[in-house]
Amino acid sequence: MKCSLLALSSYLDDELDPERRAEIEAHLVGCERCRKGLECLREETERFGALGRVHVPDDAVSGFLQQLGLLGPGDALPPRAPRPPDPPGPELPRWRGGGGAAETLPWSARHYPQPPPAPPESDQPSLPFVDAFSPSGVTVMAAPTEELFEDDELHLNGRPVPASGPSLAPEAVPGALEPPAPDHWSHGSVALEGVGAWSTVHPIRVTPSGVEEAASEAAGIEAGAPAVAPEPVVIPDDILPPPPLAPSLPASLAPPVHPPPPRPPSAWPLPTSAPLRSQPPPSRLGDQTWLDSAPSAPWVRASDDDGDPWSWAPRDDPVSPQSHIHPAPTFSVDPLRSVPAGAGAPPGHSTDAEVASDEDAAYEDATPDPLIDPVIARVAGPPQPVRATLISRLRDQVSLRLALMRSADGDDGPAPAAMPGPGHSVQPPESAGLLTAALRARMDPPVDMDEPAAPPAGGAGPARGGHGAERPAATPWSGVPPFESATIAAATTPRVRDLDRGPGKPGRHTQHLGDRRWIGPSAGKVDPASGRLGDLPHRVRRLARQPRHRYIVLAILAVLVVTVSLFVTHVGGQTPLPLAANTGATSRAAPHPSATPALQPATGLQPSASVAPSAAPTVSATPVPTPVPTPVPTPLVTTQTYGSGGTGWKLQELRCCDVQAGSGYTRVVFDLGGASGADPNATVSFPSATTMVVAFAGVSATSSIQGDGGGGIVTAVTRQSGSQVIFRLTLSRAATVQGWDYLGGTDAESSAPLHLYFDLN
Amino acid sequence: MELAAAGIFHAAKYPPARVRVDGTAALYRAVTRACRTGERFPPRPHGPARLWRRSRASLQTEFRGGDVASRMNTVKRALMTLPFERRAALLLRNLARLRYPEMARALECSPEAASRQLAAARRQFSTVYREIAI
Repeated sequence: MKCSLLALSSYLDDELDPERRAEIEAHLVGCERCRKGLECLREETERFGALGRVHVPDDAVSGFLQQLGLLGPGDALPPRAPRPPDPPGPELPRWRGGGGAAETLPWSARHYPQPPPAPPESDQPSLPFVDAFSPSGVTVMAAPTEELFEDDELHLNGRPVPASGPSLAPEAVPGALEPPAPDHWSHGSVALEGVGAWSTVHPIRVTPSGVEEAASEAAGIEAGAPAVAPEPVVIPDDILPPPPLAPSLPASLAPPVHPPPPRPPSAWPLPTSAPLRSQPPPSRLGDQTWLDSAPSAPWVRASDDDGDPWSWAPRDDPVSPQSHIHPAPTFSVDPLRSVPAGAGAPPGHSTDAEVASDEDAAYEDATPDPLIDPVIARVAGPPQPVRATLISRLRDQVSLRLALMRSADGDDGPAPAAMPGPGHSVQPPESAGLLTAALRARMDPPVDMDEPAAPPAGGAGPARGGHGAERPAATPWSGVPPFESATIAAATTPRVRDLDRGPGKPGRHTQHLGDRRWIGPSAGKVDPASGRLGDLPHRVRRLARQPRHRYIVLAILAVLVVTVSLFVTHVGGQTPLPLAANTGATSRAAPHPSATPALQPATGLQPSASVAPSAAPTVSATPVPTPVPTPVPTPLVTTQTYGSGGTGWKLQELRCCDVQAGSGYTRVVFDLGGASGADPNATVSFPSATTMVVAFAGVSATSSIQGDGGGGIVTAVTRQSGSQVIFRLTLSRAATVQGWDYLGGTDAESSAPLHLYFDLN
Repeated sequence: MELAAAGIFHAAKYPPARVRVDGTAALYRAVTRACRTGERFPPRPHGPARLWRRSRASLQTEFRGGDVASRMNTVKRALMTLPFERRAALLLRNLARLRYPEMARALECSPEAASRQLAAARRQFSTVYREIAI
């Protein structure tokens, strides 16, 4: 099968059917990368157990359910569901990956705690692992009985799995040669290595020092001959993944393909008596115990040379066949770390005793593997290109503008490349680019001797060069610590805030938060009013920053101003429009406050004859027919017809009288008789301001009625000759018709049945 | 908690047709849906009123586990970088302990898709967490 992250993930979650699970377990035996990946996944799962929990009290739950209508006021809460088991989190011992600081990867450098004290010799008759060199490429190591985890509970997915299962007895691998399992293999372990290139055969001891002899005795192996294998289990290649290394060569004759691990012996982080768990024989693959014990087993961490932590995962790009070759150190070297000097260890590893004595130094991985330890990678790793983030771009822009301002100020110093002046201790890092170097030179130019020194702004800056003592601060940036770099320096891991901010525009959740992603002095600070009015200034500022919105706001304001001004102008003060009646004569006249519109005729569509009484310049009401000097050049002829068109009337008398002498009005009365019915039409016109013409239609008059001497402002009444009855009234001053009516019935002075009168003023 | 309350409210308002089949997953689905859409309960006012008026939380909660605040912060920050589906898959699996079929009902996808999302989420989370945690 192929290495698959999906399969591993499902395997970790115990969601696979048994066949698939068995496949994966068989694959895990031979695949180092998948074992590491599974361990990494398991650690991640454990990491979630460290998350804080939100607890909802019962009263809050009942209140909420009552609010939803799911619960009555007096109802009791349903019983809580059993809480899912907590993942083995901080309560785990540190050597299992629990507790302590965050450990990202299983093969990162760790500081192991004090190893557990070795059990007494009689309790733990440890036996050395005996390496066997298998001609078929499968090396089986037999470990004698060890009751290390007899009473311990091994956790797998949070569920305790008893270590001592029923399948402790070795079973036969189908298709394999039956190993002559010794009697002491009740808890024996078999480590399968698909790599058939163990060139160096070393005795393997994992027990604390000083017990190997007794262990050897218990194992039935003579002391002093530790390299003799009891009986190697030989498993044919067809049930195991083929050995990826040098498959063409027979394993028995294969030269060492892997060189010895390049690490110094002191680099191995294994504790001396770290609980090395026994590995079951391959017949116990169905048991989960050894898989769970994998993280603590040293052979997981033994081969750390895999650079890519996720190299075990399937890749999209085709992997070169060379990438399958991992110069992984195997058991032949790894357990040797615990062998004290002089106990059968090779002479090349004689320094192990000092390492084992100094545990802190021994547990530290001194090899700076850049892909293993991020801390070491930052120190010694190759520079990694960091993609441009928002912060770095902003810093670039700001520094560039500062530099341009600086150069525009006239400080045309020497070329930036030749910048570092005398005593300029701060050098740009080699990893920084040319832009960085140029900007740094711009930011911290050397003191130019030709320029007069500016007075130091705040305090004396650091003296630079030999002449710095005289002129301590020549630039405003001299007192400022030098700018680190224009960009995020290379060989730096991306910052946390860059990762937090992320690329792209904020989503709707962020918009709900009120766009607090802005970069400014209050970025990251949450004031108590935030969420209510706290982000309002940000919103307003953001609104005002965009010119398009600014124009829209200005346009709205302008429309508002125009509307309000129009409203005030036209609704607030209603100016009386000048009426057209007798306009020429009364243009200078003030409007009469006592104008009575009730006296207006019903047909007064033309308001000419009724309104705008004129305050004539002549105040005297003397009947003296003095020609009134009217300044009107062209008298306006206005015409008004009264009556309803009756005919057959006969004019009997014409009277003019002054109702109130002086300021009163003059009434002109026409007495009509001889008919009945509709009122005759009388047309009144003013050919001039002081001339009033009344023409009757359907009215006859005797020739004796020629006129009247007048009265009031009427100075003379003349009848024009002709068939139509037309009277011309000469007024002493300009006047208009203030009122008129047809009155029926007899009068005190006339017995005519109908009277038409005009009131002139 | 407003999102969770919205999910519970929605589940209470529109109970699933197959209660026996969906079970608890229906509740998780409603909560997941509310988290995806940003729906809250009680609903937040729209318009300018939300500037000064915020409704009271319907669920009063207590936070436990302050001793692991720093690590939780790292885990949370790494989680925030994941896409929603992956984050939901990771949380439903690791915190709510749902099985794959239940995760599929909560995420409204097939169990295979849920497992793929979970695997991809684990991979991405590991990468981000490794970069963040020092």
